[in-house]
Formats: sequence, C-alpha cells, structure tokens
Amino acid sequence: MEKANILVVDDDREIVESIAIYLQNEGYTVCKAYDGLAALDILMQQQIHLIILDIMMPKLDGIKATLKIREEYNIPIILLSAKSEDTDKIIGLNIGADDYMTKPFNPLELIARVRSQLRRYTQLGNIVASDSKIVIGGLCLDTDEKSVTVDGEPVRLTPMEYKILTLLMRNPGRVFSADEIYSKVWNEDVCVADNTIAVHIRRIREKVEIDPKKPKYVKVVWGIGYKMEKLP
Amino acid sequence: MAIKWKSFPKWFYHSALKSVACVLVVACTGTAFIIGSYMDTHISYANVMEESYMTSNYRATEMSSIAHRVIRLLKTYKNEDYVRSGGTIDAESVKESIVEKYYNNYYNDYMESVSPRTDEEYVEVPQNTKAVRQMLKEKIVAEHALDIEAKKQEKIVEELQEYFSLVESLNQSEGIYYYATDGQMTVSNVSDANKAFFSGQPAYLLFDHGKYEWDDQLIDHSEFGNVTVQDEVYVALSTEQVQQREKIFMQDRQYMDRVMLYIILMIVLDVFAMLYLFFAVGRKADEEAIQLCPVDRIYTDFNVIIGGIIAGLIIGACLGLYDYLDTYHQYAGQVEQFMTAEDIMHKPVIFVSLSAAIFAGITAVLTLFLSLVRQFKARQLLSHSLAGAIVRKIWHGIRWLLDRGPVLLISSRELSLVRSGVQKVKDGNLEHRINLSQGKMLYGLAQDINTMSDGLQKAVEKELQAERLKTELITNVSHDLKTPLTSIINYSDLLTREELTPDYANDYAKVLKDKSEKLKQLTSDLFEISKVQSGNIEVQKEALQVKELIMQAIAEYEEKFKEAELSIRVSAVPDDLYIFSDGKKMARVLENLVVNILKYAQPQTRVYVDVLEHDGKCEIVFKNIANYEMNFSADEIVQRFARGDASRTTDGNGLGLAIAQSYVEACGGTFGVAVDGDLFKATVAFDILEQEN
Repeated sequence: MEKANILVVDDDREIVESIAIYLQNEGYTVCKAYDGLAALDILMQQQIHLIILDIMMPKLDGIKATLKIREEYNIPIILLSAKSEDTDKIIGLNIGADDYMTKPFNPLELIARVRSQLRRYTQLGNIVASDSKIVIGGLCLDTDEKSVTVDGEPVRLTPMEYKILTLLMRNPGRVFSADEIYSKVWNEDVCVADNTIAVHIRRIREKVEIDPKKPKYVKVVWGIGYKMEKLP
Repeated sequence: MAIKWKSFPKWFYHSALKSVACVLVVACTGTAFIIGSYMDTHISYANVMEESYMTSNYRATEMSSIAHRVIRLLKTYKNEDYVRSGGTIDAESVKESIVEKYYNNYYNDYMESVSPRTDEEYVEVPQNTKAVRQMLKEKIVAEHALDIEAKKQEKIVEELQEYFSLVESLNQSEGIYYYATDGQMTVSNVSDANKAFFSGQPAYLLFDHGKYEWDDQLIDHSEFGNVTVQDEVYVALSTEQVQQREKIFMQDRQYMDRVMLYIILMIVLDVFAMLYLFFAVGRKADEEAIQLCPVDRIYTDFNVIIGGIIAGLIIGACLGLYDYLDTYHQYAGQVEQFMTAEDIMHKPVIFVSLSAAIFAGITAVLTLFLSLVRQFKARQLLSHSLAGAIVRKIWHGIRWLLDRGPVLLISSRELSLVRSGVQKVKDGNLEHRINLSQGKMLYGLAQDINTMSDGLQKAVEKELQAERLKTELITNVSHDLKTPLTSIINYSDLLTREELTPDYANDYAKVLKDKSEKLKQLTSDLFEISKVQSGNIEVQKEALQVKELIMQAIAEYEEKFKEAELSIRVSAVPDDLYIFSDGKKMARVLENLVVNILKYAQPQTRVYVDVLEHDGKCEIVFKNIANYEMNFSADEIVQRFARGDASRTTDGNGLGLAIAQSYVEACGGTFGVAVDGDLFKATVAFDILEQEN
C-alpha cells in the first residue's frame, strides 16, 4: 500500500510534533497545521488520506472545520479533544467525524485507530455485503466461512465466542441479558449462577475492539445485559 | 500667675463660674427681697418720684392725718375737764359690763332660792325671764355701785391717757398749728387764731363751714368725714417745721434713692447671672449632650409645684419680716424715723432666722428652676412630667389596643393578599412582592416579608452564580491541564522507545512514562469527583439487576484475580433483585471497589461479595483481608483526598473510594467503609426496586 498522507491539526505544536513522530515511525507522511483555516488550505493543496483534528483551536475550531471538510471530502476524520463529556463525543461523531479521542490519549491507541480508519477508507470502502456476511462498522462476520474480521484483519474466536458474537450481530441494538444469551447459545434453559457470559463477552471485546475499556461494537449494558452497537 | 491659672482644667472654670453665678443670684435676690420689705415700712416707693416734701403725697397724708387728729380731739375729747367728768365714756355700757360679770352668780343664787326643797313640793317658777333679768340687774347695780364707780374711774383714766397722748402728738413739735371749733367748743394751740394766720403759713389745710381750702403746693387731701357745716378746722405747718420736714424728707429720699440703686444693681446682677446660668447650665466642657443631675429626676410638674410652694413661703417670710419691722417701729414709737442697723441688731434673732429662711428658699427655687432649664434644653420639659408620663401611658395603651385589639378590623382582602404573597415566595417565586399601600394595617408586615424575599432572592442568585463559576472553572482547568499532559505522555512514551545513553537514562524515561500515566488517571479522577461533588453530573437511572451487575463487574477482572492469587466468593443473588440506579455509574463504583481489592488484598486469601436484603434495602458488601496494616479510620480512607493526610503516600491515587462514594450518593444510595483489624469492608446500599411483574 502506498504511504498515506495524514494531516495533523492542533494549536499545541508539541502535540502535533509528537503525533507526527509516531505516525512517521509507522511509515506515514505527515502534514501539520495549527489552526482550522491552515488545515483547509493544506487540504486543498495536497492529497490527504486522513485528518487528526483538534476541536479547541483558534480561527476555525475542529467542529466547524469538520463541517467544511465534509462538504467536499469523505476522508476519515479523527477528532482529538480535551472535552471528555459524552455530549461532546456525540456532537463530534454526528457532524461527520469517524472517531473521537479524548486527551490525554495513549499514542499507540491513536495509531491503531488511524490504521483502522485508513484500512476501512482505502481497502474496505466499497465492500459488497452478501447474505452470508454481517457487517457492522469495521466488523465483518461471514457465516459461511465462520470467520470474523475487524477492519479486514482476521480475528480468532472460540466456538462459544463466535456463537455469542453471531447472536449479537444478527440483532444489532438489541440488549440480551446473560440468561437469554445462555439459553440461546448453549440451548439450555439453566440459570447460570456464575459470570460465564460476562467473561465470554469480555474476551470477545478484547479480540475485536481497539480499546476494550471503551468498546465500539460489543457493549456492556451495566446491570442489564449486552448488545451490539448499531453502526453503518 | 497666668501659668498657674492655665494649670486648671477647663471644666474647673466652668464649674467655678457657675457656682459664682448661683451664689450671686441667691445673694442678690435675697438681699433685694429683704431691703424691699424693710424699706416699705417707711415711706412709700411712690415718694422716690416726688420733687419735694411740699408737693409729695407724703405731706398730703400727713396733713390729713393731723386734721383727723384735731377733729377727733374736738369731737370726742373736747377738753380735759370733759374727759375727767366722764363725758367720753358710756356709763350704761360700764354698768352693763359689771352686770354681765356678776349676772350668772346672781341668777344661780336666785334659781337656788326659788327651786323646791323636796321632791314632793312643786313650786311655780316665774316664767318671765325678762322680768327676772330686770330684777336681777337692778339688784346687781344696787349691790355693786362701788364696783361700777371704780370701773368708771378706771375708764376715765384710760380716756385721759388717750387724750393727753393725742394732744401730745399734736403739740410735740413747734410749728404744727391747729385750730378747730364747732361753734361752742374750740381746740387750738394758737392764741390769736384767725383764718389769715393759717393761710399765711407755707403749708395749710383749712375747712371753713363746709369749704376746703389749702396751699397751692398740696396736691391732694382726704375728706374729713366727721365734720359739719358749722365746723371750722384749720391745720398749718410753720416755715421752720416745713423746712425741718423738708430736710428729713430729702434725707429719706436720698437714702431711698441709694437703696433703690442697690436694688436695681442687684436686679441687674441677678439678670446677668441668670442669663449666664441659663446658657451654661447642663453644659459640660467638651460635651455635646445636656448633662442632667439627680435633681432632674423630679417630674417637671412636681418641680413647678414645689417651686411655687417655696416661692409662696418666701413671700410669706418677706411679709413676716415686714410685719416684724413694722411692729418694731411702732414699739420704738418713732413712726417717722428710720430704723438704723443698730436697731435691727437689738432684736436680731427673728430677723436673722427669717432672712436665712428667705435665702434658703431662694436657693431651693433656683435649683429647681435651673433643673427646669436643663430639662428644657434636653427637650424633655413636657415629656419628663408626671402628666406627660400619664398621657404617654394612655397613648401606649391606645396604640397597643390599635395594634393588637382590632385584628378583626383588618380587611380579609388585605390578609389574603399577604397570605398568598407568603405562599408564593414559599413556593419558590422569589420575585413576588406584596403590594400594600402605606396606610394599610399590615403594611409593615408586608414590607418585612418583601425585605426577606429580597434577601432570599439575592442569596439564591449568588448561589447559582457561584455554581456556574465552579462548573466553568472545572471545565477550563480540565482543558488547560489535559493539553500539556498530552504532550508529557506522548514524549515520555517516545523517550522510552529510544535507545538512550547512558543505559540508566532508559529507566528514567520509564519512570516518566509511568508517572505521566498515573497523572492522567489522577486528573481525570479529580475532575470526575469535583463534577460529582458540585452536582454537575447527569444521572440516568434505570432498573438494574444486582446479580448481573456484580457478575459483569467481576468478569472484567477475572484474570487479574487469578494473577493476584485471590479467590472470589459471590453469595447467591436472587434473579429478581433489582435496584434503581445509573448503570454506568454503578459499574464504575464496582470497578473501583474491585480494583481496590486487587491492589490491597493479601494474596492467597478469599474475597467475599455478599448481597444482603433487609428493611427494603439491598446491600452489596465487598470484604477482603488487607495486605498492609490499616492504621487509619474508615472515614479517613474515603476522604483522604479531601483531607490530604499521611495515608496518601501509599500506592494508588486514593480517589477510587471517594469517587465510589460520590457516585453512590449521587445515585441515591449509601456508601460505607468499615475497618476491623485487617478486614476491609465496603458496603453499597440501595433501596430494593419492587418490580411490577
């Protein structure tokens, strides 16, 4: 794959610099901008494959910049912000960002997310879903092949994990209680007194999520059950 | 000398001056009173205005007096023989007096003689008392003829003395001429008495057959009441006599002028001293307020009454002095002569004691008067009176009645207005104001309530503003901390990837990285807890299955438990046990408790998670054995972040339990920590949610 051009925008130069170092270590070319307007200029002049965008910036903030970019481009945008409230994240994702990270972040996680976004943008962008494939975001489950991929990378699951994931992916958005999952997957109507299901779910998360603590696909509904997030 | 004077304080001069003024007033007033009383006994004040003796009222009175005496001599006494023969006495009245003297004795004797000897006999007593009296009178006159004669002689001697004294007073000094006749009798001290002789004298007063004539300098005379048309009365003073009298009169007048001067001087001094006192009284050097004395406690109306009584007594004393001096003159028998100081010294006791009484009285009146002045200045002349006090009491009574009595008079509309106003403010409408016009009965109450609402509104606004500021502060500080922290984390991570020389620099870089990660955790916890504690947290409550919640929380850390060599024991939890709380927050709470256990539980021990139900409450209890000595109280471990005590030095950020507590409480539950030796126990309690199905 050709080296992707990544635009990093933040009013804090040191942050831009450090991100650039990580990205360059991974082999990406990096363009830098320190406010929203400069970012738009660079976007017009160069071929950019992904933007990492800070929200609180002078001249043009990240939210407005995202709206502007979305008018012409469909490249992945990862928002980066010190604002950690749920509402901030929801706004960011709703106006067209593809991902949202709060400061301070783990640089390796950021790299993982960048890689994930690029993969989806460059390789899986026009995937055609067949009947045997269930696709949720970057998560793809093939019932014929009994295989699971995340952003194109294959994931190894145990049979029970595969069954649970299939149940959840077939019913995205629906919350299953532990008992429900147990009776449907194990086909036994037995009340489980231990945390078998919870442990299985955690293990699935660890395999398919970039950050299992903040899962994107398999979510724990605390005190109630589990669900697969509904994603395009 | 001047220096010595200055050494006295200011107040000393004030007091000294006031004392002098007081003494002056008492002395002057007293002296003026005494001199006034004393003077009045000689010649009248009117004489001060007279030009000379001849034109004075004094002479007019004297001339008339002489004329009266002459007429008395002529009409009553006539001459010595007439008096000696008893012409002036009333024989019948003398007889009557003797009869009166003996009548009772005679009457008793008579009654004795006519009354019955025994009880059996009844004798008729003569009823005609007039006849009895006549009979007894004749008897007395007959038996006491000698007594009557003696009495007559006694009377005649008295009359003679009077006659001689009268003649003596007319003839005592050379140059007083008189002539009087009623046609038969004539009295005179002039040998060849004719009218021309009298009218030739410088001072004369004539009565000639019903016609008055007098010298042209005599301003007035009184009528001679007891004269008839055939009478002739001539009175005159010779030139020498006039001159002599003129001389005495002028002496008197000079004396009088002097005395009057003294009195006027006294009065002037009095006025000045009084004026000074009027201004100075009640004032103290360097003091603004009027100074009141103990004597000012007397009610002003009492003061006036007491002062009036004492003033009355003073006037009484003056009259007493006047009487005393008057009588003294008469005894001295020198009517037209001044009493000298020596004369007074002869009988000083009464004079001195009366004078002393006058001075004492004036002192008392002055004291009371100055007290009035003080109170006038202090504007309590009316208020500090018994009458004022009584009026005030009555007025207070009326006010009391008006204030409390006629509650029924308050219109129900007014009352309901106030009541509804209070209700509105109580219900949170702090901007509501009760509008009552000023004259209304409840106006004051309404104003007070409005003021209270005002204060409440301000306090609430202040509180809201402070809350907003706090939230803003948290947000801003959060951003400002997170940005540099991002760089620190990134670069320390980059450093750990480099091969640094010398080798140990790699360890430094690792420390940097670890600590920056910890800082990250710490700051996010800090903002979390300050958000909760300032109430800026959204809680989304729903029904949570306790069993599921616990299982999910433990499942997240199952491997960690194994690594920490801890075996976990979860008590059986009924499936239908639900609580109403925020799932995410509860997950964080349980996670914090589990992480806490993983960090601090002694390896190779058991960890118990019990779910207890009692009194409608569900308690989730985490119990573990600590791997260190817990030398702090339960409160300290939860609040140690807030309290900053020594236990912070242990590993861990110390906010886990604090956040757990805040979250539980924000969700409506209770959080407790107990330490019993090495046993650490954390309890989360919520009301059990009763499911409908």
